[in-house]
Amino acid sequence: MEKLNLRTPQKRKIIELQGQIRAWERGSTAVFTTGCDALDALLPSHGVREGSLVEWLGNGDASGAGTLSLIAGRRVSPEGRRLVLIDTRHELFALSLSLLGFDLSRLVLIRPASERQALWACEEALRCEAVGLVWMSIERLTGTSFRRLQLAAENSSGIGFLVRSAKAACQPSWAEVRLKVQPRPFLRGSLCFQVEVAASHGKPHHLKANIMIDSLKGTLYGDTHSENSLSLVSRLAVATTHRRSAGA
Amino acid sequence: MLLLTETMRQGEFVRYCNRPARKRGVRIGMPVSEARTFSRSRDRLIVEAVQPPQDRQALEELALRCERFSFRIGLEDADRPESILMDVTGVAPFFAGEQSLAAELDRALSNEGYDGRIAISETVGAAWAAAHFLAGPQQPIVIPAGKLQRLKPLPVMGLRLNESTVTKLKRLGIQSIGQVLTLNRASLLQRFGTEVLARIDQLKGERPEAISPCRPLPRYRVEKTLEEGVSHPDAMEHLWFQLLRQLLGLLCPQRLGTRHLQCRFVLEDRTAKSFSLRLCEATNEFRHICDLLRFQQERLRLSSPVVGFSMEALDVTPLEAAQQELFDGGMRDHARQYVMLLNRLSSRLGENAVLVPCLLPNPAPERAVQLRAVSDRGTSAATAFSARFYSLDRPTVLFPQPRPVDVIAVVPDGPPGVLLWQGTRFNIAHASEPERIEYGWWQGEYVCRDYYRVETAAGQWLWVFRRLQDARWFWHGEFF
Repeated sequence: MEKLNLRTPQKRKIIELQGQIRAWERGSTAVFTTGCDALDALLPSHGVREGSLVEWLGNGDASGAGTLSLIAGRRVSPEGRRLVLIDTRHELFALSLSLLGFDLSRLVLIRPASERQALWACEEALRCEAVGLVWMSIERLTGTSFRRLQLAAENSSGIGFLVRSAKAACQPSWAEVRLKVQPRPFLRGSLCFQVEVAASHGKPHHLKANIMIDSLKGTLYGDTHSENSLSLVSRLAVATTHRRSAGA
Repeated sequence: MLLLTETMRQGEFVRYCNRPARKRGVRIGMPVSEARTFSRSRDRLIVEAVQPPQDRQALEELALRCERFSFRIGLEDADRPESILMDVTGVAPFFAGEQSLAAELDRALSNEGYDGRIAISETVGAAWAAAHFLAGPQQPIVIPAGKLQRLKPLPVMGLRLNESTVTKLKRLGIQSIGQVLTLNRASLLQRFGTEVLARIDQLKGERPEAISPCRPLPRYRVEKTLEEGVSHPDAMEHLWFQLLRQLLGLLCPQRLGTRHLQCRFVLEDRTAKSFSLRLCEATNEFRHICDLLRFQQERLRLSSPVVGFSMEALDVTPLEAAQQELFDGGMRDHARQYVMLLNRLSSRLGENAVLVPCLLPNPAPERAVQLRAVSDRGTSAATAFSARFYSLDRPTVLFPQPRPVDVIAVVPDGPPGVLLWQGTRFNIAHASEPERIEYGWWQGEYVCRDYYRVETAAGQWLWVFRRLQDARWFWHGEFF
């Protein structure tokens, strides 16, 4: 079988058509940018698609998964729709949310007594069309519950962000993408994280990018000087597609 | 001459007096002994003690006689009400304008033998201030919409503040409403609590102020007594729904909805139980309330069968006009869905689990946020927080209790080099400049801390502080 040259226009056309077919299968859905190209590049639709779930995995104390997901969540939340934050740890600091740019009058904070209640609240909120983003930190999530959340998000065209510990990496996921967040040492005065795609629909796995938070503006940006720069991410994406095509 | 007096610790003083008494020189607040000296030999002097309950009753009767001028008429919310509040929205055209309405009302009061001070404005607070400090006998005042600046020169008493607050403001050299309006809201909240802010908001119309009508409101209550007790959940649910249908049958024809439903039931062992259903917005939707009742019923634990049910709608208000939906379309539907979601969440998880955060101008991090239940109405203490912080100046997670940690510092009293907490060691690679928070010494709860944002060798960002009183270190938050 003759190998396809990735740089040929035909191959690019095939990739483009694949994307179009996927979009057609899902219907006309909006995609919201996280405001950070490097992070968008890790996501299957080059942004967060409405009606989808994104899973953020962090390991241990101060992993950064929660902070990063909150900042991204604020950006991707559709305008005019409300935000629901389900705080199972009862520790979210609303002053910090305000500093990160959240409009506190448009969000509601839920502090459930148990993870079971949190799951119920999450599903209810995801089903509500008035809610644009549901953010939840949760540890235990069965496959059935996960699927219910995904269906709820799909029905209402809402977005769900689930923050979990890295132990969940071996469990099945119904999220469109599962991102693993690890803190990185101090870099030019910004909070820095390595974000890795642990599982994804429609994107090759193990893509990485260094994402930083601007400590003054609270915005996300990619580290263009790191070894996982955006251009390399793009190259990796193409290379993985090549390997798959070659194997087929 | 008629003097109504009030006995205080210092003696008996004039509380009210009539026009002839004022002509003779009697003034309110004057000792009665002094007021008596103004009486001439041919005057008939009547001195009576003030009787607050009778005053209130007389004022209510007068209010009811003025019902032709307003759809909703009531007394001001005070221990000793002295003003009648009237909602004249939409009434003025029947009197050829607000000025004519005020003049007609003034004539009606004069015919009853009263000197009225009448003011019409867009808010209760503004009308009250204008009536007390701008209007005169037979000189009613109308303040058109958007002309509240006319109230700025009026004294601070026009804000309906209690005496101690007025005294404090005067001590600070603040005499007029305009001066109060220029003050920083955060400092007002800190010094005077919510009272001054609430009154300012009411004056400007930024906080709703309801008029409690004098005419007793009808009670919306239904009940059912059973000959034999029921304990099966399905049977009980059926009865609740039956009662609810009856109750909504009373509300719906008048386009009324409820925000607070009180359900009570009597058990066979002669004990009674009850639960409340608080809603974020008034509703009369049968299915929605049924859902919420179901959540409440799931949590009930009954010791014996139920023999009596009663249901009462307590906070009954008119529903918003349905015609708006025609124009607002999807947004209105979204708002309705959101309210229904909040009701469901509050019902199932409890009111204290569904919260709206409000920022307070308090530098102590644990007191910088107030979380209030979504069903709380009109208690907003939210203030615009000063923009002196950058985005990452506060951690996304704040522990309810600061965690005591052991610290190894590179230099004495300097930032930490190593943090030890419950067997976990954090090697600190970088620490920010300290941020000192000193607060509460005047309240007897002294907070004096140096906060550091530290970065561990692994890249984690923690928020720690050193308590300056005893130099102990605590881990207070993190960027989780």
